[in-house]
Amino acid sequence: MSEKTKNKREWVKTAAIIFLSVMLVLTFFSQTIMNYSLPIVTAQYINSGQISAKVRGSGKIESADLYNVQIPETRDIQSIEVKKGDKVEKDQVMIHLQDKESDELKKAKEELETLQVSYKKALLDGGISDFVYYDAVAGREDSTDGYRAKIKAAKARVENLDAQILALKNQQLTGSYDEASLDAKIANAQTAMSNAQAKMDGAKVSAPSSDYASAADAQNAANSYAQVLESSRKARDDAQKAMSDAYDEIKKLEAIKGNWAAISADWTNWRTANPDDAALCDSNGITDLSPAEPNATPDGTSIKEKIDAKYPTYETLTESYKTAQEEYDKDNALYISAVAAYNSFGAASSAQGAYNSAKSEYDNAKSNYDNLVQMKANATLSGKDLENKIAQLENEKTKASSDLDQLLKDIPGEIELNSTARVLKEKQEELQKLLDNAIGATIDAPIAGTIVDVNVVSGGKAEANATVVTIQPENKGFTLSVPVTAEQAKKVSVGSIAEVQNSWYYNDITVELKKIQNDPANPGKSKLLVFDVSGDVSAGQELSISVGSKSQGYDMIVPNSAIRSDNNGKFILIVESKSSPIGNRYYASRVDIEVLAEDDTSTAISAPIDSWQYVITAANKPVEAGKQVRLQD
Amino acid sequence: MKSIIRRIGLKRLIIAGTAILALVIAFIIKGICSSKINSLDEQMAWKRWGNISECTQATIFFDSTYGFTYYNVREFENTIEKRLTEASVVSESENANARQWIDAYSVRGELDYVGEAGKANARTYGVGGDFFQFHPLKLVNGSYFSGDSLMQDYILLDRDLAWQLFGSDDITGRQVWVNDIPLMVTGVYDCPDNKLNNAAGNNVPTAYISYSMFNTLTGGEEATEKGVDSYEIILPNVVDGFGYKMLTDNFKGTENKYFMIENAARFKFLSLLKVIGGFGKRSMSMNGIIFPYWENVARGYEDILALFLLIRLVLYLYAAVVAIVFLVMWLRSLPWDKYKQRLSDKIEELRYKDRKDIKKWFQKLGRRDEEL
Repeated sequence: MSEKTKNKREWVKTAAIIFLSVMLVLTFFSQTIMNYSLPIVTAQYINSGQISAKVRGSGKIESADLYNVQIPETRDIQSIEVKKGDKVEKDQVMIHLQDKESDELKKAKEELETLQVSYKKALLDGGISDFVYYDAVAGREDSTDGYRAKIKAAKARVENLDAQILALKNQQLTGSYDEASLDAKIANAQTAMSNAQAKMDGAKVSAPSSDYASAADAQNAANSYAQVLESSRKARDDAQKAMSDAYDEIKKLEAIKGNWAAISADWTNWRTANPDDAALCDSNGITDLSPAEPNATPDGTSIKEKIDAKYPTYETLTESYKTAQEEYDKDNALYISAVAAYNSFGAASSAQGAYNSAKSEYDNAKSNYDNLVQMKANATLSGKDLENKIAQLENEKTKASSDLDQLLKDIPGEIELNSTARVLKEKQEELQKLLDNAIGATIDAPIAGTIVDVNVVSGGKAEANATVVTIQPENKGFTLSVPVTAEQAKKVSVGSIAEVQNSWYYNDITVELKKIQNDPANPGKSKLLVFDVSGDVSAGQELSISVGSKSQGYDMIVPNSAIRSDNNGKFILIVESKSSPIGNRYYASRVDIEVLAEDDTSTAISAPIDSWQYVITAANKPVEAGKQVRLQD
Repeated sequence: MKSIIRRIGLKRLIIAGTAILALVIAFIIKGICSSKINSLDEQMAWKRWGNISECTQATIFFDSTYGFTYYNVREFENTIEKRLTEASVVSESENANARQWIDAYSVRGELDYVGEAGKANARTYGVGGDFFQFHPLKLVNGSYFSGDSLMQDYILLDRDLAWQLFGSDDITGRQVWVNDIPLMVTGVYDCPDNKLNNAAGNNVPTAYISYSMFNTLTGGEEATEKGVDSYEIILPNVVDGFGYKMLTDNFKGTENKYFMIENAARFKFLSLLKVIGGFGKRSMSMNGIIFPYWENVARGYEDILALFLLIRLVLYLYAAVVAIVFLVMWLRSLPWDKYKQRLSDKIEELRYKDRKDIKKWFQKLGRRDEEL
């Protein structure tokens, strides 16, 4: 064997040894090397338990019934005796006012003076006739129809005189008159007068309801009764709902009782399948699993007894409903009566209008008839008598025209005078009211309580009808309004007791959810949870609370961090173990889930797996389903 | 070995070796780049979401004056749903609750927090939608929250902020306060500590809260809400460019007030070539867009990957030139005269064979005529 061949073989041998050594090392450490490249995951077992979603929020404590102290006039402030947080007794002086007339009183006096002067000037105006003056002084005022009738009558008088003069002048020219035609006209006028008389007699004027002074009063009363009726309707509906709910609850409990043996044998599953019924059982203390009725509940009371105990409440609610219904019927009768009264005013007004119209027609017909009769009487005149008659009628016509012109001036004047008189009367009443309501030199506490706010300063002004001081009445509770989303509002129920966050800071506070209402600041989008707050709190204090929905039991609960999602929906990754000659290997396996409920930390799921599975909650790098993972030590 | 060297020549062998080495280096660079791209979780949400050939991911960054409010987000979501229905794009999942697309939006600000052990000012992102599906922060403990959560008072803190406020990072369920409004800690995450992240602005105490809570804490009512800074979406891409076109169509006319990027395509060959092509112009900004840290990081990696692409192209080019030169040299070294002679002989042989066949055919034809 040559040296060259020997060297070549040595080289091959060395290479083979190195290769085998490397392979051996890799085999020994393959697990360790592989482990370092795998995602490290933390995992935990699926649990069973309760899920209770919490709704949290903050708000400012407000007095349930704050008393705003206002004064009816603008006054200057001299000094203030109280400050925010002070306790005051009833009638205790809170504010001293400067002792001078209020701005409103001064202004009202000035305005009244000006009006009185204007009224007197208008009365003494030479343009109006005496009867207008005396009517105005006596406070008499005609209606629009009356004025219209007066103008119409005055015009008719002028026209009739015109017609008589014209007829006499024709007679003077022709020396004769058409008697037949005049008789026919008289007959026609008589018929028209009779017809108008019949119409006037037919127009029956009905009297309006005597319960109310005017249609406006009746309408106001009807509106007011409508509100009362709405309120009593709501009260009746609420009472009816409460009664129905109580009845439904009894019926449900009866059904549970009927099926108690089967339910108690399968208690856990039944609870999960019927969460509402389970909650009903919880609220009635029916939690025992024993199927041995009648001692089914922990306190030894049978379900029957529990149900029987509910009947008095139901009966009370039924009585409340009946009372509410009676109240509603009573209010409804009052409302219907007020509406009828209002309608009677309308009917009376309408009938009066018809009568006035018929009377006006009759007056016109009578005037026409009288005129024609007069013309016939004049027809026998001739010569000097005829001339004298024409002259007399001309004079009468001049006077009638002058009366008509005066009337056309008097009517606007009378209307204006009456209007001024009304304003004057109102001003006098206003002034009297201000004088009656004028306060002294102090503002006293109308009730006992704690000062919540003082809105004025010494030397400043207290505006009329503006809140000067706000008082928290003694022994009145507080409310807390917390805005939440509509979805959050669905999770809580009225009557729930809220937990106060940082409760260690407060003493003995109880916060109870009283009602859920629309948020006026954001209607349609958010709701307001209104709580009753009792304990050592004060108005204006900021409070954070959390209120939970009714907790429910679930068989599979995982931490929120275990829930993943992709375009196939939500899923979890569970750890599956496979044995190998060099130890166990762990693989991530995808399980599609349905989320049943969730709270701040946990999610209840439904999934086609056993509840003892190990679910991945976190990983140091993305984990893919089917890939190997390493468990955190 | 010596005979090979003698036959090919040492110089040529060295050149061939360097070309192979260039190819190997180019492939190694490609591998490293792919690995780096896949590690950018924010840019790869579309891969985690579903079938990668059927969806795309895009992000829109808005100018501070754009005012893309929560209402606009909801309106846009409705538009997307409508367009998908019109295009008959339906979910193929058997799960009735599965969603075809998801989106997220965020706004950035600064808030002062009060914890049980201290106070701190922190960069705060108000986030909505499935934000953490796009940004899977590395949780130390706790969990993320989502826009669908019942409560919107959750806060996710980084370790640094947790330490400043509580002196611990095991604080899930505890409370922090901003202007006396309590927030519940839902988890603590670990911030990546590397040069690019730090340079991108992700090295300060940071917290994530819900978008609605952010507006509440910053005093922004609906009417004065300034709008989101960024909007991210993963949506079906039934044909190439379908999803991205749907987005650009919707924002047509306001191009100077937003910047849109298709995350799913930004590291592809052509996109990186554009980055190289935009050298010099890329740093210029003509609007008021401030990128969040994840976009800054992505843009940093775009630059780096574009540089590596350039190096790879040079290496490929070098290998290709060497291969062509060697091919030409090899072709030139072949005995073409000998091949030519062999070819003409072959042609002649074929011609002769053809002539013989034709003669045989005529003879055959003649015999048949005689028979007829």
